[in-house]
Amino acid sequence: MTRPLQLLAIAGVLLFISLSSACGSGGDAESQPSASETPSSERAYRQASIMQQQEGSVSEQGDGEQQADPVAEHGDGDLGDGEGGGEDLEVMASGEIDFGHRIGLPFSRNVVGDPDAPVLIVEYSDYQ
Amino acid sequence: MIEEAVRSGLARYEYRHFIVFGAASEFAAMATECAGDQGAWWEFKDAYMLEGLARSFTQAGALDLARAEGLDLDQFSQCLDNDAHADRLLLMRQQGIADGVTGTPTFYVNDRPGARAIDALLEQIRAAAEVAERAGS
Repeated sequence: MTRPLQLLAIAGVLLFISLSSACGSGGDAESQPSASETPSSERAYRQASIMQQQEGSVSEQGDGEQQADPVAEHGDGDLGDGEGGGEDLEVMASGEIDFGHRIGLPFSRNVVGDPDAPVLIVEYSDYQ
Repeated sequence: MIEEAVRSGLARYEYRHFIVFGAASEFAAMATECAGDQGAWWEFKDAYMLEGLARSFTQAGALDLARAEGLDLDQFSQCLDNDAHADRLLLMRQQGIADGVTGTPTFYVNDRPGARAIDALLEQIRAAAEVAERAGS
């Protein structure tokens, strides 16, 4: 009676091991695609990141060129129009003066008046 | 008088910092540019130049002005602390030197040196407008 029980126990253990192995490989088989997807996802993510960085650097260069443009275009170094700021800053830096003796005049940072006015008056000054 | 020319559409007016009186002036110029980021460039320019607020040439004074104008004080302080517009101020100075500025105030009318006397300057503006009008027609 002891030996059959031992054999049965051994058979049970072997069955358990084989089933466990089968389930494990099945799990691996299922996880492999996702494992293989992960690197490709990572690559895609990295590529997207690089592209974004490249686009960012291009747009930054573009911004830099735009900032340099006023000087290049005007030759006299037109330093108005919110140069040095981003789009949001430019929006904030222009509008219509709502106080004092210039009330109602359009402005763009340190320039006031009609952008199409035929005459540009530049004043270099120190506050003190 | 210049405002009349600007208001009539004849001219636009651009102010450029040209620091000759040292650190306090430079600070005030920086504060003006930082205020300009939030749309208050001319408020600060007038406060410094017209009202002659000596106290506003200090950090505390600039913050008072910024507070009075309802600016974002954190953004304003960060701009000041980082000297965020140092390049812009340097560019203005370099451009002034290139233009031949030796003292302040110095005016230019369509890139030509402007007269110091206001009447002569206005005459220059009118003449420049006529030239531009003839060139445009």
